[in-house]
Amino acid sequence: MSLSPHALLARFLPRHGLLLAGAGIVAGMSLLALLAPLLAPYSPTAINAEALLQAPSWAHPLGTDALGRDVLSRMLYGARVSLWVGFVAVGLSVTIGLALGLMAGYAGGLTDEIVMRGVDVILCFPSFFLILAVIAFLEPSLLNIMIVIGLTSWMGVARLVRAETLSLRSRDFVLAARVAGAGPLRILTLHVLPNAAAPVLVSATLGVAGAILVESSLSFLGLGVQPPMPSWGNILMEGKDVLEIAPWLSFFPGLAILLTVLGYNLLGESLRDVLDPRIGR
Amino acid sequence: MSGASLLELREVSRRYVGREGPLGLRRTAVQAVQGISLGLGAGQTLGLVGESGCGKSTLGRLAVALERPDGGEVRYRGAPLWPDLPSAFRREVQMVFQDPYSSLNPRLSIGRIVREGLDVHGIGDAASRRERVAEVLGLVGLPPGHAARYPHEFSGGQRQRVAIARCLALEPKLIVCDEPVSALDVSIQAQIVNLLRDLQERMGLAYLFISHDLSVVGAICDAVAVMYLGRLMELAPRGQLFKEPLHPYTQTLLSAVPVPDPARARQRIRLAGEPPSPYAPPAGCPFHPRCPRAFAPCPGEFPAWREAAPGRFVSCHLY
Repeated sequence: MSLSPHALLARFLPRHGLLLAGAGIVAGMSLLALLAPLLAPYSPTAINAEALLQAPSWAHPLGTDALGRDVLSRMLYGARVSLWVGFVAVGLSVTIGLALGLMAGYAGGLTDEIVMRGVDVILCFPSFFLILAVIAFLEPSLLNIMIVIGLTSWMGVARLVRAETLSLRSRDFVLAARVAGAGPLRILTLHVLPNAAAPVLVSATLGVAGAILVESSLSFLGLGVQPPMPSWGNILMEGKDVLEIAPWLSFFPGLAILLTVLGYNLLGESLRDVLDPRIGR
Repeated sequence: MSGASLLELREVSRRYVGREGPLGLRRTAVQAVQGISLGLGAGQTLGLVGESGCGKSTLGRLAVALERPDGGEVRYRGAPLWPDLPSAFRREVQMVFQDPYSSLNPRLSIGRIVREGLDVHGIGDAASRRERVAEVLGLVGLPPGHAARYPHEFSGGQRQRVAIARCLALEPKLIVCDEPVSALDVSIQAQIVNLLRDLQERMGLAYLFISHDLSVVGAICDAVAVMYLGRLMELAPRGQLFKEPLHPYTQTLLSAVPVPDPARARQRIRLAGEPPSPYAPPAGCPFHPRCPRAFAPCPGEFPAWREAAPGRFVSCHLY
């Protein structure tokens, strides 16, 4: 029973290496974003006419952009945007998906039919173009982007939660609660939700990666976070015009997006593997 | 059965309609329970036996109002369950399920599970609920200190004790036991049956005891009802049913019960063929295609439910 920390790690590592890698990347990126004001050597918006498009050096570890701004500082602040968008958008989509999924799965019948056909209809729209269209009408602010991404990504969660609810509501412990007089609200919050939490957590983790990618794409197209506020997407966009003379401007934000999305996907996928044998915990 | 009825079923029927085929156009229906009348008095135990799929679990769910009958009526203390449940029903009528692994929420502690009914009905304050949980855990033979543990830390038999404790917390008058021991080891089965009997004596509980195991039913029931394909075949006090079954189906069932005495020869009635599909039950008496004593009127119409001898009811053209 009592294993040394070292032996525990030796047992845990081979089986959950990917989980640790994903969690490490996610934790590292979050830490960098949180500590951005402390870590950034320059202000992310400080223009320096004397140091335009400089290659990485000791003074500017990731180089400077066309306005002489320090890329490392901009990247650190851009990480805040990415993670903020990821969490808020996913928070919104999980909230909507949970509410509608629980309702459809538990009520069944006509309610279920209406909600799920609604999901089918919304899924018919190519969501990225829907977001583009909405943002084109609204002001492309950070808040609007988060809300729009959240409002267009809850359908998967709703389907997942509905399916879980459907199978849980006929389980004996739910019937026992009904026999004891428990109402729908109590059954959903106490008996259904905790038992459906694992797959929702997995889907939310993967959702963060998706939201970060969508925000970067929007910013790259100029419909996302507006300059001078830095985001990985708009750093990348500014870099594409000078790709031949200053490749670091495109390379580092691209790498950051890749790593972060990879981190969340690794974390989500390995959480799925760990949590899947559901009852045997 | 006795005059002062706790639970009464009158001509109760329930059918399940499913949709099949392209676009769900073809409808299929199973008549799970058909025209069943039963009564159960306070402190009594009524056994309900029959093979898999005969509708006995559906009858149990109708009795605890998890299902609504689409014909006939279920009454508790004389008041109909539908459309509105009698006020005390959800406290006084509880249920024990077959599989103790799926009847306890894996995310809640044992204490939380047992306390649920008290929470729902707002009985007592936090301290008195804790006390009550400890008390009923003691009643079912579990250390009250186990309240903080989770279901996965318990064996099947212990889990079934927890499920029984959950019922007892609300001081019920009637517990519907749906195959409460058939998922357990034989040695544990006896413990649980003894526990149920003991609790009945102490608390004056009534049981509707659903089982496919006649020896278990024989150990606990005052009266036994036999079901076949959604119909009630026979109802009799336990002793009389086991000694002298009237219905040919009951006779067949009883002849299949193992006798723990190798010297005693058994005459086993063997049935030909398979049980008919509940989707297409035979006309008339549903048992007639397999009945060793079937005769002219059997395929024609279902035999009326009649009292063949005092306290003994049967649905068979022979009587």
